[in-house]
Amino acid sequence: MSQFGNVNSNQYYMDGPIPGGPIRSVQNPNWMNVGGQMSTQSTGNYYGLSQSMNTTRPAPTPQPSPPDLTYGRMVNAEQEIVANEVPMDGNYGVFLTRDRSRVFVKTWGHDGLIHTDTYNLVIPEEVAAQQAEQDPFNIIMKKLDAIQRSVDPEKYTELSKPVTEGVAPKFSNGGV
Amino acid sequence: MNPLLQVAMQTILNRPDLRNNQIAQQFLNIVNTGDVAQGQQLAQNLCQTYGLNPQDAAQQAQNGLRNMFHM
Repeated sequence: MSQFGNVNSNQYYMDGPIPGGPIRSVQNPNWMNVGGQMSTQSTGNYYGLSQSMNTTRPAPTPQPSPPDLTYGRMVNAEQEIVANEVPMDGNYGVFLTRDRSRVFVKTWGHDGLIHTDTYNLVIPEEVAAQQAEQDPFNIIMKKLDAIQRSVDPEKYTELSKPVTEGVAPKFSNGGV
Repeated sequence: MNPLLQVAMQTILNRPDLRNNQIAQQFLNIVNTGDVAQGQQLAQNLCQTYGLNPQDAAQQAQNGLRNMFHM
């Protein structure tokens, strides 16, 4: 029948474990009593409702487990995240923007408000410099720079320098 | 406290899906202490978070209770 022989599992649960038996790990006393009669001695169920009727028994103190990541999805913007998407079981909802530049970690507070932690992408300087070099605008400016240098080396003004004071670079020959 | 309310609160506390629900825990705490102002603040915050008008939310809650108890 089972590893416990012919003994009713409910009696085991109520009377205590068999020496050497793993009965302490059984949470549902009826787990082996499929289709059978429930023992009248059994007072426990999954939610412990009948146990809570006994007012002399001290109430079990809820033990909050550490938060976990239970839900997440890609979003275009933070505004599209609705309250129903944030888990109410104490865990975090994680939302990554489609351009992968930001992460929003949201959780409900006990005050009825959603608390958000925002994480921004940090790009290392070398990678940022590489990206700037591959930027099409920068490539065109460098080519224009090279052409200007070859046409008029003496009156050369570096085109690729950033424009300041909102004024375009001027050339003595009227520009290229 | 009313014994029936105490049983109801214990039942809620024992539910695994509500054990880590901070709002439910806070709500039970407010019911326990009878702090009306704090309860009102929690309700207002929930309405704000869900983008609900407090009057509409109260009406919806009343309708839900009527349906639940077939009134």
